[in-house]
Amino acid sequence: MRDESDHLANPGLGAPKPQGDEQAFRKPPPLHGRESHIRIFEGEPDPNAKLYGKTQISADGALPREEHGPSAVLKALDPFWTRGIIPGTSNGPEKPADSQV
Amino acid sequence: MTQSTASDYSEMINAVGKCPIDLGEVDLFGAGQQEHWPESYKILHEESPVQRIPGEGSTPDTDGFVITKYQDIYDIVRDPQTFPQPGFAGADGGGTAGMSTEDGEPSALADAMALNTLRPNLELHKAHRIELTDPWVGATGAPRHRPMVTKFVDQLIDNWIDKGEEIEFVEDFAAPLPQLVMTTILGWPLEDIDILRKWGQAQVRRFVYGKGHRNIMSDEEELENARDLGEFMEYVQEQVTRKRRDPQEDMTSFLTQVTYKAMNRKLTDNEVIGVLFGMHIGGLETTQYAIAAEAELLAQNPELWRELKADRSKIRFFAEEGMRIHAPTQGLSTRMAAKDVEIRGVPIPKGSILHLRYGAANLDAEEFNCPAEVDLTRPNTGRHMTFSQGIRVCPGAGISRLEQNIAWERLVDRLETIELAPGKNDFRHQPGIMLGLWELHLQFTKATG
Repeated sequence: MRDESDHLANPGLGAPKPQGDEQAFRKPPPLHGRESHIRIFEGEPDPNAKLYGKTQISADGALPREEHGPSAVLKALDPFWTRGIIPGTSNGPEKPADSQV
Repeated sequence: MTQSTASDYSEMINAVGKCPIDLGEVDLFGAGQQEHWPESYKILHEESPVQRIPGEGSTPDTDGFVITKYQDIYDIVRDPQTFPQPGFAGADGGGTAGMSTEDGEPSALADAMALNTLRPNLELHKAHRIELTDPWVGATGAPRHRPMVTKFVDQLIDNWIDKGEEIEFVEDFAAPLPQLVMTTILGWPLEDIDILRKWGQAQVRRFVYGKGHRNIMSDEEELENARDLGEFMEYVQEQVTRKRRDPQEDMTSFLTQVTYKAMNRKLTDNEVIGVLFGMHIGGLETTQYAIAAEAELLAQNPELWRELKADRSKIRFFAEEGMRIHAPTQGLSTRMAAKDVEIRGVPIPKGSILHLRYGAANLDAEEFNCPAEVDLTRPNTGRHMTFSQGIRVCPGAGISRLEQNIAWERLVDRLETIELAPGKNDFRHQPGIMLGLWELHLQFTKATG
């Protein structure tokens, strides 16, 4: 059973700024005529925000340099599936001999 | 998933949870609570549709939030900029959000993974689906597997239809079908089925035996799982090497040969393995759980069975209703808030992890009237959240739907009746965030003519 007595409070460091009606927000569009219950506080645009990650798009069709071994394969996987099995990091249990991480 | 693993999970497996009667007793992740999720969802919908889990966000100083209402989940999955996947570079405000190390420093490894994955941003996520997976397991590519799936369905039925009048449906049908289908699509040897099943179970182990909404396993469990997955990755590497050398008509060969237009190049071995890893994990247990749950519904409802026998065109609506009522993946913590947001008046700070409870959304009475009832005439039958929605909708939805439809087309054709075997079923489900029957004992009579 969880303590929900302070349900709306949030003690985390990431606690949001006060959000009154005066703060700008946007809402998703209605669904079947029902107003959305979500308010998104955009805030000031972060100039350092990384909207897109780096890619390995090639101009000449060449393959990127590729590491080999289990740890290199792990890096190619969706990180969602690899939580806890990244060798040699605080996420993983051990560093195998052939690790290149 | 079988119950045999090196780790001792007997306590989790045998736990009996108390059915909650009020919000104070609701704990979706408590031992044995999987048997009471529908009751818990009803309470959460009415009293706490956005439930905070203190300290379980992307870092120890942030929180997790369980989201259960259909409309809220709908809005979240359709706004990947505001609610990205933790750890993806697309999560703005810091490309490594959700993947920080314990001391709070962003993980260079997370950047490396985002760099190496073929889907580091939304644009490439879409291209990945259209170019790489849709032609094999998506809505456009899956239908060409109809003859192959039908063949395996009939083979499995042949194995038991003349040997008696009772089967354990999970082991005799629901589990082997998706394994046979996915192994064939991937182009891997069918004689490897047994070991592939073991590795498939390792892939989903954290979602069954992991603790809490983040599916956390102990160091010992992680080590055991990493060993199994390491073996699996070596196996997949062997298959990739073999297919590069001698390509055939299968998905592994395709991935080794294709020029990925979005990147204007072919895929590296590791990238191919990454895609195959996802296909294997997604294509097995979820479809197994769906087919088993649908069998339970039909065995408990003879009128529904007769309705399908009388009109095969209703099977596809039945499969959708089965998936809606018993979603195989009940919830996932695969979204985070990249901005400060508020949902139903609950402030959710940037960095929080959102646990989207798809199974609860499917039972939201505000979206689906009488949600616990199978209704083949629902106007919104296919709008359930079982495959999620939006840009990250399940890439294998097409093949899963195909398998379920063909399974019931052939079972309805070849069996006259199915019913529960008296005294043999306890209807228990495995722990975790998946809804999977351990076993289902059915009696059947063979169709004549």
